[in-house]
Amino acid sequence: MNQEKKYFNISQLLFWALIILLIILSIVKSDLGLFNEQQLSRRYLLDDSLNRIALQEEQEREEAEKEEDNQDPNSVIKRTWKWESFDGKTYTLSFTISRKAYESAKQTRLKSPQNEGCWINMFRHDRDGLKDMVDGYRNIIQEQKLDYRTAMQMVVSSAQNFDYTYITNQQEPCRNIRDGNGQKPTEDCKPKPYPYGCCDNVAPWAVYSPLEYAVNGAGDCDTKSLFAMTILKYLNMGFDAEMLMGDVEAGRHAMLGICVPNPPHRNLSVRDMRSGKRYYAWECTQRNNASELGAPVWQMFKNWEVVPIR
Amino acid sequence: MPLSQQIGIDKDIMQKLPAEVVQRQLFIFNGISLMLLVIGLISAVSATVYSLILFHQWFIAIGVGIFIGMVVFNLYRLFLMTGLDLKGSTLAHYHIKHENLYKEHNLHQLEGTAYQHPDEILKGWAQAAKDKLRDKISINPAAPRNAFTIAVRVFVMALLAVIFANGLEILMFSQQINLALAELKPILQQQPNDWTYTHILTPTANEPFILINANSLLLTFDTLAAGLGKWKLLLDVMVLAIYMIPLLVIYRSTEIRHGAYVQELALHEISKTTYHYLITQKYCHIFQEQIKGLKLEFRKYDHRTNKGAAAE
Repeated sequence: MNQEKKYFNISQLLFWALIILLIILSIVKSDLGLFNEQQLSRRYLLDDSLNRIALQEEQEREEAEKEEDNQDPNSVIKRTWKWESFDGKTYTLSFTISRKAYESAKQTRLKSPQNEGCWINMFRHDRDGLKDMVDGYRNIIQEQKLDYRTAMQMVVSSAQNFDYTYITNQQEPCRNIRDGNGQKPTEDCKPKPYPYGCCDNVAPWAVYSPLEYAVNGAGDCDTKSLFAMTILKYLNMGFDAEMLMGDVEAGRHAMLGICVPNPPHRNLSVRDMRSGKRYYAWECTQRNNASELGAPVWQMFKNWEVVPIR
Repeated sequence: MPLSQQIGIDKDIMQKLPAEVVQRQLFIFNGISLMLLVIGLISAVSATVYSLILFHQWFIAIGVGIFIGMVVFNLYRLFLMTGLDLKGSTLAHYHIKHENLYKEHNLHQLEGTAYQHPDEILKGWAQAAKDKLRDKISINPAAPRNAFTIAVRVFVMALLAVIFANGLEILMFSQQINLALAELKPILQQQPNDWTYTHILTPTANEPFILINANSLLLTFDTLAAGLGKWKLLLDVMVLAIYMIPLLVIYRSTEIRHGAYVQELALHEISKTTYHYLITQKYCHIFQEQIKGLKLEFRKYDHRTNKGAAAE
């Protein structure tokens, strides 16, 4: 083929090759994973000028995730939380957690005994590691001159702020989880809007320690309730906070129990037979419930008991 | 009808060329015609996709698609055919100024005597001049071209390519875009009277969504760009290359630029003009003689007389 002919022939071949490639791509696009629809909604919300998620908070969270890759045991993990409480005010809390304490919290969780023993172990262990965070809450309360009720709401709303995340262990892996609508969670272990994320293989009892929650923000009912309870206990504001466990229509459930005078509702409360105190249930998995102490979201409320954490 | 005729190629012009040359030229122009048809089709499909998002009606969308497809096809055809010039060919000297040919073949001398010959003879002279000219053709492949007109054509076609690439990608990834939008919907729904949810992601009662479950081209573009990431650039470049290849072939392939068809077309035009020049000479003389034979008397009246006559 002479040089003159070559040019047209090659161009023609290239043209049809590109057309065929486009057709093939449109057929096998799903298999190649060219389009990544994951997290698109989050990106949209970040880009939206009407911004429903504080952009700064999201960027800080992304930076914090990058920081987590730093495995130096002497390093510290920095976090900034920003949330809206029941009083309509937005609170910001910046805190640090040492990587050593974080790794130690993980180890404590892995060695924990079942159920309440597990919560007690983690509660006791995380005191030192959470010191900076607890001090941060205390500063907010002092600076803003919050009364005990508003302070309590401020702490619980911070735990509610992150989207629900399924926490599972080996007995019930993420791939088997379905919610009431039959929706499967995404297996990325990050708090995100519906469909929620899921953390797989959180041994041994599918619950994160308060310190781990402070770092990751991923949690379900017992993780979030345990975190809120731990902070409230360490703030020592003059009222009791405990873990509640029982059955609701969705199955076995954990909630935060608060022992305060004049609660806004009386139907969801559990009496501790040992102390005689009544603890009012506060749902921690839903953000900003209409009621101060959490709306009574459950119709069924059976076999509830107070789990004292000391 | 051969494909090459779709872009305006007349194979009868190449009658005097060897069969294998004609065959090769027809193969090339058939190939280019097919490319242009495919580009027109891509543009039509892409315009249909855009119209579906804007109007939510198949009838209107297909109508718009066909119209846009035909516009692009004809625009491209125009770009290609007007790009076939004689830069670098000796024929340009005669094609731009036909008097050069008349002078060279002493056709000016026939001005007084052309009427004496029948039309066929005149046609033969024009044909003979054309054949002599064909023997003199020489090509300078390094002859410069008008960069501005090339740049304008490339820019216009590149712009169209990028626009229609988006439509094509929306069609390719419509399912994935809809999944992403479905993920966004429940989040926006949580806000009371959310504008995007109400106006962009909710269809009106009589116009259900078709293809993309959104009213907004911009939101669709954003979703497409965010979902594809770097792959979008690759797909855009692929479509851009598809749109550019015929233009590139016309300007770069010597088989086309200085090919037999272009030379024959120029010769055909020169010979037609030469024949009409001779015919004009002939009939000009004949009509002049006829007018003289009528013995018409042209008088010049002064201005006043004409006025007076009109008044009477």
